Amino acid sequence: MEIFAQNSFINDSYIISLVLFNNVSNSSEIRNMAIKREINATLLKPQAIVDSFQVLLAANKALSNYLGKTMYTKSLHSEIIFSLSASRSITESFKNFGVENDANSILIVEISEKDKSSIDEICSRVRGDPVKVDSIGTFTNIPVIKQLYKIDESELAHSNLNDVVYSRMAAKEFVNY
Amino acid sequence: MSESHVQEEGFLFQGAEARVYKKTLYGKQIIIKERFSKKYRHPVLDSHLTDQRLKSEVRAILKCSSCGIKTPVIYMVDFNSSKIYMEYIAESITIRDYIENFLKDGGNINELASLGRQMGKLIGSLHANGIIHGDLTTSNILIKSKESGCDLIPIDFGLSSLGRLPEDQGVDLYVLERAMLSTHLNSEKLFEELLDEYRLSFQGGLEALNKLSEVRMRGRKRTMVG
Ligand SMILES: Nc1ncnc2c1ncn2[C@@H]1O[C@H](COP(=O)(O)OP(=O)(O)OP(=O)(O)O)[C@@H](O)[C@H]1O
Ligand SMILES: [Mg+2]
Repeated sequence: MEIFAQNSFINDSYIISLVLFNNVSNSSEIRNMAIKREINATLLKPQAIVDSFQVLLAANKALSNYLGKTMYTKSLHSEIIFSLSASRSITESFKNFGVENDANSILIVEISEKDKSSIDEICSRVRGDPVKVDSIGTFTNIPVIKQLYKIDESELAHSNLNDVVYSRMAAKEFVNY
Repeated sequence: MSESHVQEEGFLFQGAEARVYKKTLYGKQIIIKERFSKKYRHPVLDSHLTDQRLKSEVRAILKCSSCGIKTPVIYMVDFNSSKIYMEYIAESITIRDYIENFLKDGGNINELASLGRQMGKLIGSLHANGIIHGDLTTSNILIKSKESGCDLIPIDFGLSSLGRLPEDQGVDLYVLERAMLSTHLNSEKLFEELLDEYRLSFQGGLEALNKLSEVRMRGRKRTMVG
């Protein structure tokens, strides 16, 4: 199993771990564990993700809000979902980026203090095939991305899709899309 | 288990209200622009003003990019530390440095007419798209050469606003004129080229230029009195 782990650039005593699963057969079970906080991680829909950078940005933003006590949501892990979204509605953010009960693939994101990660244990609960986080692009659903981030075809004439996604996330607090 | 892709912060620039660092973030070269507080301002008012500057900077940059004007990609805005994380424009220098290098190498400023015209076109398209830069100087436009010619990339939008008032456009040009004439010796003709192209490329250009004349007069009166 590949764990893609990176230091946070907000505070380097925190670490962000990503694991990608395909052919998952127990997503509703995993999802329930996350809801009940039996596992401390965010479960994302890989179709709504363009690359790991997008997720790392959202995770760092969430950590900054967590440490600065300026969170919009109730937990660090839900704040990641909020930060990913171009929408300021928490419900909508969850609907768009959170995994569904019948999901076939899951991107797991955990933020933890260094040496306190429980990503191995979390992953041991998942029945599915771990795949390289690098391969996230093969799950990306571009029409869905365009719709979630309200990206117009004309914008893509001079900017690339990933860059537009990053900047939509960055400005969501004060720009309406 | 974790790789450190977050390298040491490289200091680039310290202005009156912002500090600029270059850094590598998860493999991407980025710029961090951090606004710091003004000690003499009231803390609550100060943090409000800082947030406003961060927001107007990002708003204008995003507006540019949606209108096809190349600007740095915005990666993150962190209000907790007053930082904007953005794309590092590699292999670029400021127009200010470009002109200075050109003169140092024995060039004559009047040979830079085409640069002046390209600047005029850029400012025309900012104004045509309802963007007032607010702090136009030759340090706030980057130049990056490409296979044919070069790209001009406006930066430093902290004082920008959105709108199409000819008065604001005129003031924008006036700020640039003052900055250029005081920074670059004998840049009068270069600035004229700039205005020529500005007028040609931007529909509302003439009105803005009329406002520029008015603003110049006011400026002159003010200096005569003061
Ligand atoms: N995205 C970038 N890519 C490359 N270089 C940059 C970038 N942003 C800024 N710089 C460099 O850093 C310098 C300072 O940046 P900037 O003009 O944004 O800050 P400032 O002048 O301190 O801001 P302000 O006037 O709002 O206080 C620029 O003149 C340029 O040389
Ligand atoms: Mg500047």
